[in-house]
Amino acid sequence: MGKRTIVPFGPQHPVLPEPIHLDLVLEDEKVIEAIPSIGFVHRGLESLISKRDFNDYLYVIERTCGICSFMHGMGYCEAVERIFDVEIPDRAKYLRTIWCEMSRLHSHLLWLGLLADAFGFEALFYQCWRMREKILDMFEASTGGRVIFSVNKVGGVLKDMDSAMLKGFVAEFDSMEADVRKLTKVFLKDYTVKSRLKDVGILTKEEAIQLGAVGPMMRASGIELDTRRLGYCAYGDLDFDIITSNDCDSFGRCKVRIEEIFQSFSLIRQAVDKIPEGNIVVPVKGNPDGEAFVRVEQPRGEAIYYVKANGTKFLDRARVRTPTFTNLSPLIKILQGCDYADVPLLILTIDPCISCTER
Amino acid sequence: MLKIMSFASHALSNLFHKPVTRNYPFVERKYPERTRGHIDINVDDCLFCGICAKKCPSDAITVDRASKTWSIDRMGCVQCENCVNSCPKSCLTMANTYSAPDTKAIVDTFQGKVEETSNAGGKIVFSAEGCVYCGLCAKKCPANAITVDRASKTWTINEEECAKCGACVAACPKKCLSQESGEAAKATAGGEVKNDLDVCVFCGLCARKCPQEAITVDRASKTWTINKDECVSCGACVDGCPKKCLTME
Amino acid sequence: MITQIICALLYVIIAPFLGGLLAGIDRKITARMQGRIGPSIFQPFYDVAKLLNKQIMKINNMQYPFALCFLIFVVITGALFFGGADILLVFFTLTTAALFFILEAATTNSPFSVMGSEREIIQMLAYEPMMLLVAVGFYMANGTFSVAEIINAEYSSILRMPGLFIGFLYILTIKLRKSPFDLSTSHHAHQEVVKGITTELSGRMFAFVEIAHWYENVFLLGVIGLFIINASWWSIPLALVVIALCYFMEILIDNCSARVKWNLMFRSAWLVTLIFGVANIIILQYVLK
Repeated sequence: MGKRTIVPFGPQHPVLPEPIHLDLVLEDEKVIEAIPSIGFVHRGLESLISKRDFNDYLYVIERTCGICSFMHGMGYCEAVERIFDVEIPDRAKYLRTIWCEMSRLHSHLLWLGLLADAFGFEALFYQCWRMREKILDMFEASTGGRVIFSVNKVGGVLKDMDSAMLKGFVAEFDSMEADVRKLTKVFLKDYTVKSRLKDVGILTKEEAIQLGAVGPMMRASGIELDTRRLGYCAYGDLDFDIITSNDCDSFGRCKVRIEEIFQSFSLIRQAVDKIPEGNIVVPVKGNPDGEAFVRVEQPRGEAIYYVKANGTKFLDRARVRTPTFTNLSPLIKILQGCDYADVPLLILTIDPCISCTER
Repeated sequence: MLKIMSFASHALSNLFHKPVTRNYPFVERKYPERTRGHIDINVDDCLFCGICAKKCPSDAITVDRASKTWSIDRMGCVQCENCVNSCPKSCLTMANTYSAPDTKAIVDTFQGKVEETSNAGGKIVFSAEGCVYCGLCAKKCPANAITVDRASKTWTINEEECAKCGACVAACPKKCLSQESGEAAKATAGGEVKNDLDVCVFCGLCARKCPQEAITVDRASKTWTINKDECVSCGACVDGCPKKCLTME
Repeated sequence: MITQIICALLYVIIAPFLGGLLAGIDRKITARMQGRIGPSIFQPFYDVAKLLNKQIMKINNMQYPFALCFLIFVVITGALFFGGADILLVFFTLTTAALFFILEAATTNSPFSVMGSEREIIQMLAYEPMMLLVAVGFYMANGTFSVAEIINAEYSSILRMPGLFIGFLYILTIKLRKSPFDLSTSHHAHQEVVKGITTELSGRMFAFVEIAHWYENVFLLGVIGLFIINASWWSIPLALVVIALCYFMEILIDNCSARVKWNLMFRSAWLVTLIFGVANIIILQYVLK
């Protein structure tokens, strides 16, 4: 047995995009155990529900996280709409779907970049992020925001995209798809990259079920589950397969996310083809009473929104179960026995969003 | 097969193409039309109703009805556009450029015209005659102050919430809503509050109603005092008095 | 003898400027390969100038002397090399310098710094055999260890030692701390060991280490030149071209690979040493005799 050292990893560590703390028990460069602690970016967003009108709270909840902000806002709106029992217009559903998939695209491209950075491939990181930049520009052109979109509303969406804009986006996505395809070769074929990803951080199917992995982390362990199959928004009308991989390692997670990028391109194209004309919002009057529970597939996995209303304009409770939270236990599992050099990489393979987790 | 340097084609093509980054801050960025940059106000149209301040999730807006000022904490603003969407007079707009960075918080204050009469009208007057309880007024109301129940044929307005913007009057298809003129509203408001101490029971309701906490009532010593500097002559105490001993002069 | 002393002095004076400029060009080209505008090519000088004016946070009393020794020994290495001394001596002086650098990091208590120093030792183990073989190869090709005599040979050394040249380029990636072998410290801190071996350096101390790296890089590129330069005058511009090409290749490799783990680095470096280095030596010994 070698000498044991404890390396404090985070909350401020250059490789971490967000503050999470891990006490890594090392034996030379092998990680024996990882002890996580969280709570560095808690902002008390959930408790603000008692101080904000349920309509205005939307702007609070979508600030839970800067990557899936659209889906946070949407999940909350869907939950409140379910309490009101209103059906939003079809066009709004399609617009939401398109923005959801754009969020997924930018989240996965961001992740690919961070992954590249984690294994020390800076140029690849920049290459991914400049593609993501284009998606942010599209978000800005369509919603007005690059990170926080504020286009959702209980009852629909606030902004429309005309057909010229949608066609322009699809053309942009076509050229982007070719670029991503070229980059895929680097991620999945390059020798140095593969040497860092293959057989690193193995999470078997059984472990994934036991530890409650969600999202690409779970699908890379061969579990076929995707909340989008529930058919919220316009997903019921669109044609897509659940992407899985049986690699069970970091390479598999990378592959699943890359394939999901192509899936998102296809979903956006389908949605643009099928989008109906019409209203984008239905008026919702009065105050909600009752409770609702909504599941949404975020880029990082399944998120759950629970909203309880009491007939006043202030709700009793709005709760989010974020994907990163459930993915933390698989992370601790895969960190045990890994090389110290793989720690940043493994933390990234769960695509952590700590600000989501702590709210 | 050992595949190395697969990124070389990207790297070399980047090397011989123009960089994609911009020399910030020397090269200006062109913002799309919809960019949510900062809030602008056309203060001349503003009613100072305060709906924007109430809706603001980050409490960045402060509206002072008395001095007719509207101010925004530029760094507190999260550019959610909620105020723009809820402004009854559409005097708020979202501009697509950002406010300049600074080392301290910037608060921009806009002063409305003081000398002129208020843009706000008076009370909303409802006449049940002609009303079909369609609910259009409730739908239009930016403050959600109106409740219409078609089944029981009731129309109620929450005076506290009402911003007196007149949106409901304009929306009413049957013209059964009207609004007292701003001048009339001003006539009832304004002036000094007088108390007929012979009638007064010193219940303290007026003190509770007063938004400025200008009134002090002591039941034990049977005293009623008003701080004239604090009083804004809103008339809330007069309306709230159960004994009708308060008058506005 | 006088020219040799002048050359050594010239190296001591010019090398930091040349090395800094080289680092600046490296950063600019790297930025352009990544699609960025990048900093001015004089940025490394601005950085070091700023560091020189910053407060030093000394971890212990030994850290600063060790860092200074690193600088001094690197300067001696280069001065000996450009002064035309024994190439074997030059390589051993460089190893001594590297040892001081490792000691500097090992004296601190920071896990990142200590881990960086451990990795630096592994890196040394990986590149040292090749360095020795290169020295031996120069002797076998030219019959002398003296740099002054090697550059006056009739033919460029590379003609007799192409395998050793390739092997040297391979370990140069380790020495220049370029990806995929930037294990002990990398050019940016996005690494599990933060800045590895240089994590605990600060202020003037860090500036000196940075300057030492500039000296070291100029010396390493000088070794590439040694492979090319022969008695004729045109070999000098040719050497400069080869140096530029090799450095560009290093930058390209840096931008086209992920950071590998130590065992892969170690294995591949020794494999290259074995295939290119040892084979070249065998050929020199038995075929070109």
